[in-house]
Amino acid sequence: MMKKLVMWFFMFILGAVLLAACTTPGTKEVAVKQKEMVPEQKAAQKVAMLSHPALSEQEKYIPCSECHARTTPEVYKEWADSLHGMTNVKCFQCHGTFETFQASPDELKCMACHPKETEHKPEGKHCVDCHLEHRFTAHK
Amino acid sequence: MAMTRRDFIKASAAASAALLVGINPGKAKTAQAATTQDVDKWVRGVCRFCGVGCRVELGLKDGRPVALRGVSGSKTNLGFLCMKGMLFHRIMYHPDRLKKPLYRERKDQPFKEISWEEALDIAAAKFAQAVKEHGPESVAYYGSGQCLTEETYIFQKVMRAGLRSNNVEGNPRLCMASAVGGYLTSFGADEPIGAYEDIEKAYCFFIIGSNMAEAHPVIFRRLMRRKLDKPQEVKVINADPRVSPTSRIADMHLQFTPGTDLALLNSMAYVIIEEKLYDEEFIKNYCKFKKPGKPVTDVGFEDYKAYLADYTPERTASLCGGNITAENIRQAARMFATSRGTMSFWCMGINQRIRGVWANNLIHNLHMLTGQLCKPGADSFSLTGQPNACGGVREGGGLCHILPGHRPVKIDKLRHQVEDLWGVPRGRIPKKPGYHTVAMFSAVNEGKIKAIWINCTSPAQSLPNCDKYRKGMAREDVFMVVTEIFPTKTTELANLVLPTAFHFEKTGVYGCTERRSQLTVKTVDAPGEAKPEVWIVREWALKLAEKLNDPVIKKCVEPFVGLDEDFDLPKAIWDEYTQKITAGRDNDLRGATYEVLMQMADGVQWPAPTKEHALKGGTYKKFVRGIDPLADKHAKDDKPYVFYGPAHKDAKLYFWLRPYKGAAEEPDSEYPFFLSTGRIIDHWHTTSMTGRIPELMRANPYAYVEINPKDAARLGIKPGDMVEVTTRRGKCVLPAKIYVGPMEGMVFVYWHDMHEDRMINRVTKDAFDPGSKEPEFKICACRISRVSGPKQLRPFIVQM
Repeated sequence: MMKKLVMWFFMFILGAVLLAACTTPGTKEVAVKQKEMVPEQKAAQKVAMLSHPALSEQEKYIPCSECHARTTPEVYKEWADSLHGMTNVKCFQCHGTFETFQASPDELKCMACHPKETEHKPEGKHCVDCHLEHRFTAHK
Repeated sequence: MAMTRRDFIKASAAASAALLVGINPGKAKTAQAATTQDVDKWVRGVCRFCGVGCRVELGLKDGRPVALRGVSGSKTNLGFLCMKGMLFHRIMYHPDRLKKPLYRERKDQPFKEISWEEALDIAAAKFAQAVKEHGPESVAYYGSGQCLTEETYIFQKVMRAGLRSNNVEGNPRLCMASAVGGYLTSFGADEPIGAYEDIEKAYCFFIIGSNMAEAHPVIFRRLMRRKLDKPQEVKVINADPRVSPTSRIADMHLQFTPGTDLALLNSMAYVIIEEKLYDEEFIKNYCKFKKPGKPVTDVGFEDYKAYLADYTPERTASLCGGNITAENIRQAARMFATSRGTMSFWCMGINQRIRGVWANNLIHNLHMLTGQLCKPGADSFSLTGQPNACGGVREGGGLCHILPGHRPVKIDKLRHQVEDLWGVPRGRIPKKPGYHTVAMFSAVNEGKIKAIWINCTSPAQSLPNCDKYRKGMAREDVFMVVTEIFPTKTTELANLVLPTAFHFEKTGVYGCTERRSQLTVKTVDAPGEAKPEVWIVREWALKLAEKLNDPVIKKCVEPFVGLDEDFDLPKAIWDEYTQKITAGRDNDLRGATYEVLMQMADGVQWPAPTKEHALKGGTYKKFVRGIDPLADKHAKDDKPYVFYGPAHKDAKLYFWLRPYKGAAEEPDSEYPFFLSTGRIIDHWHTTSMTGRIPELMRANPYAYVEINPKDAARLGIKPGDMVEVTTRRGKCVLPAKIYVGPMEGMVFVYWHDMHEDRMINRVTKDAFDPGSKEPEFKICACRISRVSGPKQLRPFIVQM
């Protein structure tokens, strides 16, 4: 429990620092997209994208999974072994591209393939609150 | 603020650790993240892309499309969509949409905007001039398996009965013609007997020549689910020279030298007979054996057995190469024959071959031999590449040799039937079939065709050996009209470009792979002055009638004059097609009226001769008594199956004794590699649509050449190196992907890329199957060489 609290604190500090430094080139386009997001999503997106190394235009043409197979192999493996991985549901379908990245996909993304499930979820909950990220097989 | 890569790796590692202990840094407090409030209305329709026919709902906000979703429990897709299906709304308001008619007298001039009145006048004048000066054979229509049935039907009616030309073709010739030939010659009737719902009842899947995980991802998902639900009982065999994402669910991957699959299929039949795994009763009741030749001769089971003697597993394994052993041929044959229900799936790997019809016949032979037909979970099922290749083109008369309702044009009785039903004089439709696709564009090259209308497809990129045919399309004495939604490689060669309405901007029916017709009703307005094709053809025909002073042309569209183009016009065309033309045919759709299709969210599977039957969904399985009303109607005894297909008067299924034959162009010392082409999940056809969806273009921005690691090492090619792929037709330069996909001695390139350096159809071969006339995109010979290290590349899309 203590470990979790420490991690939460670490991530909060990291997020705050990165949010404060939101002036890098390329963020203009991201800012436009954020008009459609709720504040929590904006924060999550900024945290996620600013913790990502800057990519050249050429590097942005590399599929997310190609780098993440090496840099976050646990996440990659979870996805690759999941039903999404087996059926080629790719990173961008849930998370968007570099410019439109959403760490936590909005419900419309889930709804594309899981319309019924998005309707019967408990009030106030988001899909990823209960379904394991990148595995999706069971409730948390 | 940018981090270094080292920092990123460290940060990523931290993030991964966080995830492992249950903390997602990007997911903090997302309980209110739903954005469904962005959609105020969901409207029903069918997907615009492949032949699966996924049911979709288009989400609107203030009348503008903002999202797409599946519908849980749908008959085709069970609610799932692929990335193309969930994103195609993004192109509806794309700034590149064509919005006004564009014209230039000469192809070296810039286009100028003109009015519809002027545009239709020019189109009519040019076609009329060609007919007057060079005869009906000098005009042509080249359509698409993406057109609505109503569009293909009215185009071909005006061409055949109006202009007296059977030069009616379409891009399904490039993908499905061999499957049509296979079904007609083996079963006497086109299109699959069963349906997707057999997947959940099957115990063995034989996937050959299909990367369905990428080309038909939603159907692949159903197979995967079935395999995961019964991992021990359900077996999956994937036969392909290339290991692909489809192989992932396979129990057995049979990797054979390109072109040797005909031998493999015959060898499986050999094993089934040798081990007495065949269904004697099924063969006795329903089948005949045919030896090709002039004339075709009837033979018996023993002749078939003797014929297969050349295909022992040992000899065949040696011929096939790759990883094929005699034992795995035997194993595959046993799995196929002994399962409680076997479904075969194939697509372009089988069809796009100079012996595509034979390969289709040999798959059907296995099903007849084992009785794996008509029962639950058993079928010989050809996958289709386009959303309406079956419904519009195969059923609607969109190829040079067939009239609507599965009627060969050369048969007098059937041709006269159509002339009578249309109310035009007998003899108006020529008896001789028109040019098939390769012949049509060869005729363009030779200047025999003076005016051609290309609708909703881009042959300048999709024809094999396309440089050869682009020369013809660029001729100044060939007038070319293109109806499109975006600029393409083909609009670059046009005189007249007419902007058309896109999906959900017009009303009409798509008929998918499993004989299912689904209606999509106009929901949003097309941008600018874009118009539905049915309006364009009607107005063009009326002008043609004036210019040629020919009342029969007017007669072709008279029933549709004055009708509202958004609904009443397509409805009237559908009514004429279904109520008059399909009546009494095997694709009887009389029950599937617009009223019924509006009620049936999942559409209707033909045969559906009555509304009562259509309102139950139609016919899940053809030829089975108690399920198919036409089987009951044609039954002459108590047998459970009745094969009433129009091409076999004896109501029998035919085994064909087809030998192994290789490709038109095999590797040699000068061109030592096989070159094969195919598809990738993120893109579709020529990328005129998917290339304009940023997520999809980003996911696969340019084509590359897949090379087996052993070949790459031998040739000193490293990942990302620029590689020249040279054939006898020309060369392309693409980045290398070193991948244990293609077998040694083979390279593979996706055909979607529009860039001149990477447009692989510039080098493919235009040899075609003598029966189906479908070209052999899948096999030719090439050599490869490294030209440089990695280069920065950019995705490319044609702009007007």
